[in-house]
Amino acid sequence: MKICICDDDKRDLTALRAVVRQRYSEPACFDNPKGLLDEVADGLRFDVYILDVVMPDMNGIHLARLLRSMDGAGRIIFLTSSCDYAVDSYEVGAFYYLMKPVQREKLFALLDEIDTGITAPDTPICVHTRERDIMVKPNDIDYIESMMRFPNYHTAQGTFTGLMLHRSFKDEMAPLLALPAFCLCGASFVLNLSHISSIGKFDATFHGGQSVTLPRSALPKLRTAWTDYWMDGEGFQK
Amino acid sequence: MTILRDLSVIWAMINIAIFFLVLMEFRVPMKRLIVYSVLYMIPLIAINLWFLLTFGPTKMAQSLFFIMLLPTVIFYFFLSKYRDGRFLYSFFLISDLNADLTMLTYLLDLAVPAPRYLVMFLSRLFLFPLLNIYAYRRLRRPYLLVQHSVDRGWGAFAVAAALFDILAVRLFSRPDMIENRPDDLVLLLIVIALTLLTNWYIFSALNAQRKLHEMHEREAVFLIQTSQLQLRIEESNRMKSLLAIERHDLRHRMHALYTMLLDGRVKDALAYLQKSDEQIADTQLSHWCKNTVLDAIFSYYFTQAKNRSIKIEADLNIPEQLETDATELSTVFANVLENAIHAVEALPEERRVIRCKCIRHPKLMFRVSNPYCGEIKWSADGLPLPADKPAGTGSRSIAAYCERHGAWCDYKVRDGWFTIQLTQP
Repeated sequence: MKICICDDDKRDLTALRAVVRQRYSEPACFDNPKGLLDEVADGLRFDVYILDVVMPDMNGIHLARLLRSMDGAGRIIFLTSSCDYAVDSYEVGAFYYLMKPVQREKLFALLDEIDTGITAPDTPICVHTRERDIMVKPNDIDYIESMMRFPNYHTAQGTFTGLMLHRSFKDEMAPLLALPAFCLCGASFVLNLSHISSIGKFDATFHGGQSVTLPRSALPKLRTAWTDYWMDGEGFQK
Repeated sequence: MTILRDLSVIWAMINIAIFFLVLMEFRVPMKRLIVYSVLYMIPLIAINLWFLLTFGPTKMAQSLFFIMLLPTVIFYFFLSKYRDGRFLYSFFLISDLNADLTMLTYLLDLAVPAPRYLVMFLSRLFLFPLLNIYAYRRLRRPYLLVQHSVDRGWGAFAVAAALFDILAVRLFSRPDMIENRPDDLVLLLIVIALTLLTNWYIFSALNAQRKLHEMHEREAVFLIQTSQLQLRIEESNRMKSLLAIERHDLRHRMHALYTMLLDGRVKDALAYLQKSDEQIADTQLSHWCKNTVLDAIFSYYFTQAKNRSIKIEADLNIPEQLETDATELSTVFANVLENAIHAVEALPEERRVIRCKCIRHPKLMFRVSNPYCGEIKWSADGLPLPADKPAGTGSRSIAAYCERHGAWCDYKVRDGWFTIQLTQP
């Protein structure tokens, strides 16, 4: 995991660098925002940006805003001795707002959580079709619908029809249902909760714009599962 | 010219089917509903047309209950979102209006000197669609809102509407058609007028009730906002005073620190600095989110919780601009937080905590959890009952908000914690 620290206070910067090195690889250190921005503008990317908030030339919130315009994926942790900017930190999608002096255990807990999210396996599954076997990553699947005992996989790459099911749809989809992002809806649908952008009265709509009409009786359970998925922090917030 | 009569009957039946789609709410998506309606109407029209041609208009009018009304009630009952007095009233209201229009156009045809059925055909050709357009543009929204807001008393209204329907149809067609009983014509016209007036009065009264209820809700929110804004102003003024004092004292503090350090009294200087730091922290004004309306609500209720020794754990990622009306949403949050405070203040101090979380992606989702004591009772529709302490009041108001805006609300009880979760559409 690539970590960078930006703090104008050289003592804090050195101390934090020493703490991070105890568990992770050597972090990149910047004692001014401009230096960090120049590196990111040149193409350098980090998994985690640990930013001081109160800095003389540019505060950490503004720095984060500029970083977001160049690198939307990196997680941002703010460090500060004042909670005045806590509300503003949401606007730049900060992962956490940590108060100084930094507690080692708290910092490690946050970094471990980020590390788990980055390295979480997205092991492809094998979909057997009549023409060929297709390897599909779970995160590429929007939903799977069982029609006349044939599973139809609706993915980012297109729609594939699997071979006829010889056991129940639920049992067949058990490996996917073991993942937190997947939910069984009724008897014929398995949906990827992270790909749903909204749920209406009768259907669910995905990020790509397509929607699927679902059994009315299954919608309340889907709504609850979708909300729980995002509220419990399983979903990746963009 | 009987062909005009037959065509006008078919045209009326098609428009009545459309009227049902306009004024009722259903359990299935609109596309599927249209398909079902077409599949239902084709045989229904065929049967009614056959009856008309075989037995004549008098027998048809006298048998309407069996060949049209009863099968239509059954068909729409299974598709309707509501299966209580609301469905019955809606059904008989639609039946009343269309029956009245059918009878009036029939009478108009008799009154105007023109070829038989021509005036009836032409008037129905224009008036039925006009009625549907009027219902869609003017009646649909307020009527559906009334159905959401008012959930009692519909049975009585349905009985009244049904009685008018039966009376009018009976006067029109029994013992034979009205044109053969001119003495009953005035009575029929009075019944039609009474039907329209009564239904209009029922609707107006219910709509007024709904508006009054909404006005009270808005008033409550404005009162909260006003009081919170006043608190904010007072707090802001207090901070300004403190900051002015701090600025004034800063020079003295710097001088005091200088003297202590010059004298080598480092420990005293550090203690003095620590105390100064704490005083600066007191001047801080807390904000909970960027949206000013919701921030005021959170500040108000979190302050109330703090005054009751309730710990607040809040993670509120709320944008400044919301897709929904912040004022209305603040009523929901106010209800939820008030419920939570009431539930928690009954607990021993060490157990008093309320957890609030709000995220904005993929949709605005809000969760409040609190421990509780006692037993939670649930209504038939899954809402915590008002009389129960842990649940507090306001769950019906939250449900009404969800109904209006297509939001949904979940209630969960687990391991001694009560959780309410609201998701915006």
